[in-house]
Amino acid sequence: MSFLFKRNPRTPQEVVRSLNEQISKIDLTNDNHKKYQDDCARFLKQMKVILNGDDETEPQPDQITLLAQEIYQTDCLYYLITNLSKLNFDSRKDVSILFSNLLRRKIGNQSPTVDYLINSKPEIIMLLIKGQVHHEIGLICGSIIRDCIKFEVINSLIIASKVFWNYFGYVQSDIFEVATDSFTTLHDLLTLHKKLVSEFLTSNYDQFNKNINQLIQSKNYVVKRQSVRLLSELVLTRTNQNFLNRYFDDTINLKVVMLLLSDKSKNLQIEGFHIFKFFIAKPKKSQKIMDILIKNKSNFIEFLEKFDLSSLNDSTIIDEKDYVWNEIKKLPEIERL
Amino acid sequence: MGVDDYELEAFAGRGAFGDVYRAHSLKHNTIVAIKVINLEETSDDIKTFVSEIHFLSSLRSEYITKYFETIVQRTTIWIVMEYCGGGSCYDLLRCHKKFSEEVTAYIIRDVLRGLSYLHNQKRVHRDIKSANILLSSDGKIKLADFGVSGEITMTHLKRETFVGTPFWMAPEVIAARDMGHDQKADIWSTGITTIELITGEAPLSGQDPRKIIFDIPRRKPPVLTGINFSENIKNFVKYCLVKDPKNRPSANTLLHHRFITGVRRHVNIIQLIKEKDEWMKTSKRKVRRPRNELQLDETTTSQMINWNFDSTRIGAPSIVSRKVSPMALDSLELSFDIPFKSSSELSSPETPLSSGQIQNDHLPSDQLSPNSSPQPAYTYTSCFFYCMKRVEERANLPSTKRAVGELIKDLVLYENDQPGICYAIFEEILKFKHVVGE
Repeated sequence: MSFLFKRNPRTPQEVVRSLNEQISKIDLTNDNHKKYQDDCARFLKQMKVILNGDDETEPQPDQITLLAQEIYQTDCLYYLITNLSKLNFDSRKDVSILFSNLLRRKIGNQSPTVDYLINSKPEIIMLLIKGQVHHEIGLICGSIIRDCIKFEVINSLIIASKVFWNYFGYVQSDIFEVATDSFTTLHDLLTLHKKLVSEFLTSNYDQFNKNINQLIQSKNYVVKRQSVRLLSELVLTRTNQNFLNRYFDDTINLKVVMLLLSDKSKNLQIEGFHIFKFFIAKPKKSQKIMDILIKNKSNFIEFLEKFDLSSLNDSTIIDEKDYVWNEIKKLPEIERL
Repeated sequence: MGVDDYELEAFAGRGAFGDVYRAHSLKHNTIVAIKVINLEETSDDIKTFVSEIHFLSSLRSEYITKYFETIVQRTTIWIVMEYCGGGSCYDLLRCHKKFSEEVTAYIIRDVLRGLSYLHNQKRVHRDIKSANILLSSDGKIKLADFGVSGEITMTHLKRETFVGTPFWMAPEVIAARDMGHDQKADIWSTGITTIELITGEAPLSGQDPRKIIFDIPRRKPPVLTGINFSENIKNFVKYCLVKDPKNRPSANTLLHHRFITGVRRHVNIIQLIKEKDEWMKTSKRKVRRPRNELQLDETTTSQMINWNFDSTRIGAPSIVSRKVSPMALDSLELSFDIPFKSSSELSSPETPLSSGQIQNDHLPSDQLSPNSSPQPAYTYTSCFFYCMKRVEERANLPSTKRAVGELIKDLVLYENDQPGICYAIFEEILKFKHVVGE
C-alpha cells in the first residue's frame, strides 16, 4: 500500500481533511457518487496503514498522534457515522476497524478517544445506537458500540440514558441481524461492568423487569431463548443481590417462569427451570409466592415427573431437580373443597 | 419478510449443519437455497449460530455463495442463500471421473480468488474440498459451507465429525488442533483439491480416515507425478503442499502461478454441467432424505400445564388438562459426510457411534459385544480415563492441568451421550500401536 504515499504523498492531517471533504460530496442520487465513495475507501485504507503499518512500513507513533488529533479536531468520526450508509460495503468495515484502533490507543491511563466521545461528541454514541436498527449499517454500528462500551464510562452513559430502553424494541426487529446483533449489545451492556449494572438494576427494577419479562414472553423463539439466558446470567451474578431479592419475591416473575416450564420447547423448559429453582431455594418466601406454589403443587409434581433430563448428561441439574422435587413434596396440601 | 416469501421446492442436501432446500423466492422471483437449522437440537447458547450468520452477512464476493437473509420459523432458523444450480464440483467430478488441466485450473483459480477475499477479511474457510465448491448454473465458481469457518465452529452440532474433512486436512491442523489454525491450512486443502480434481480422488482416499489422521502429519506431502500431467500443475501442487505452513505461499501469491495465470478466457464448464445433469437423471442414486422433517403447519401454542395463577388465598385445585406435544429431540443422529463411499476398503465413517453397533462393525469378531457383556467396554473405557487422569497429573502448569481436566469432562459428556466412543478411541490407539510396531 505504500506506493500510495510515493505517488500521492500526504500527511496524516491531509488524509483526514480529504476524507472529510469527499464524504460530504457523496450524493447517492447522483451518478458520480461512485468516484467519491472510492476516494473515501482509499483514504480510509490510508488511515489504516498509518495506524497499523503494512508489509513494508511500521506504524509511526508521531504520525498516529497527528492522525488522531486531526480526527478529533475535525469531528471526522462524526461525519463517518452520519454518512455511514453512503460509504461502500468495505469502507463501512474499515470505519469499524478505525474506531476499534482509536479506542485502543492510550495515553497513560487515558483513552483520548473515549474522552472525545464523552466530552466533545456524545452525539456519535447516540447515532451509533440508533444506527443499529438499519439493515444496511446495523451490524457495523453494533460492533462499534460494543467496542465503545468496553469502557465503563460509555456503558454508564448509555444505560443512564433513555435510549437504552430502545434496545428492548430493537431486539424484536423483524430483521434477524438487527434483532440478534442488538441483543448481543444489550447483553454486553448488562454484563460487562458488574458494579455499574448492579446499581442500575437496583434503581430501575420495575422498568427492567417489565421489559425483560415481555421479551421472555415473545412469540419469537430466538428472542425468547436469548432473553431467558440473559436473565439467568443476571440472576447468577452475585453482585446483583439487591435485584435478586426483589425479583424472587415478585409473583409476576414466578408466573412468567412457570409458563416457561410448560412451554413446548424442551430448551425453554430447561432455561425456565434454572430460574425456577431459585424461587424454591429462597429461604424466606413471601406469602404470595408460597400461595402460588401451594396451589400448583400437583401441577409441579406432574411436571417434574415428565421433566426428563437424562439426555443432558448433567448431574448438577439432575441433583437440582431432585432437590426441587423434594421441596415441592414438602409443601402443604391444599384443603379440598 | 417471513417464510411466506418462499416456496420450498425440493430437498437439496445436507449441509455442514442443517438441511438444505431449494426454494422459490416469491418476492424476487428467483431460486434460492435455504438452510434450515433446528435450534431445539442444541441446549447451548445460540449465540454461536448468531455470530456465524453475522459473519456470513459480512461477506460480499462473487466467489462466495451470497447470503440474503435469515428468518425465524418456530424453533428453526432459515438461512437464505444464493442457489447454485450447477451443483457441487464433487458431483461434477463423479460424472466426469476426472477433469482436464484446463478445467482444474479454472476451478482452482476461482477458489483462490474466494480464499484471497476471505483471508483478507481475516477469516479461514477450513473445509476446502470439491464438495464445498459450488457452481452456478452459468458455470461460476462459488465457495460454500462456512459452517466450520472462521472463529466459530458448530462443535455442538458436529460432535462426531472433525472440523474439516481428514483427506483434505493440513498436517499442522491435525497435529495441533485449533492451535494456529491459520489461512495456510486452506492452501494445503486447495492443493489436495487440485489433485482430487485432476485425478478423480484425493490422495489416501482409499484408506481409513481414522488412520490417515495419524498419517498426514508423519508422511511426506503427496506429490503429483506422471507424464500425463504438465510441469505447471505438478509445480503448483508442490507449492500448495509445502509441509511447513510458514513456507507455504498465500492465496494472493498463488494467483500469480503459471498454472493459474495460464487459464484461458473461455472454459466450457457449462457443457460439463449439462452432461452431469443428464447423467444424474439416468444414474441410480441413493435418495437422500432430510435429517429433520420440516414442520410447516402452525400448531396451536397452547401450554401443557394449566397453572393456577389465582392470587387469592387457597381454593380448589384446578383441573389439569394436558396436551402432550411431540418433541423433536430424537433427531440428533449426525452423519459424517465424506465422498468416495464407493471405495470398497473404506469402512464407512458414517457408522453411528452408538453403543452396540460400533462393536459389531469395527471390533474383531472374537470380541464380545458389550451389549451382551458390558465388561470389555467398561475396562477399555476405564483404562482410557485412567490414562487421561495420568495426563492430567503429569501437567506442569496449572493452566495445562485445567485444560486436561476440561477435556476429560467433555469426554465424559460425549461418552455419556454416545456410549462407546472412548472404548473405540482406546481400541484404535492400541491398534495403531500395533500398526507402527512400537
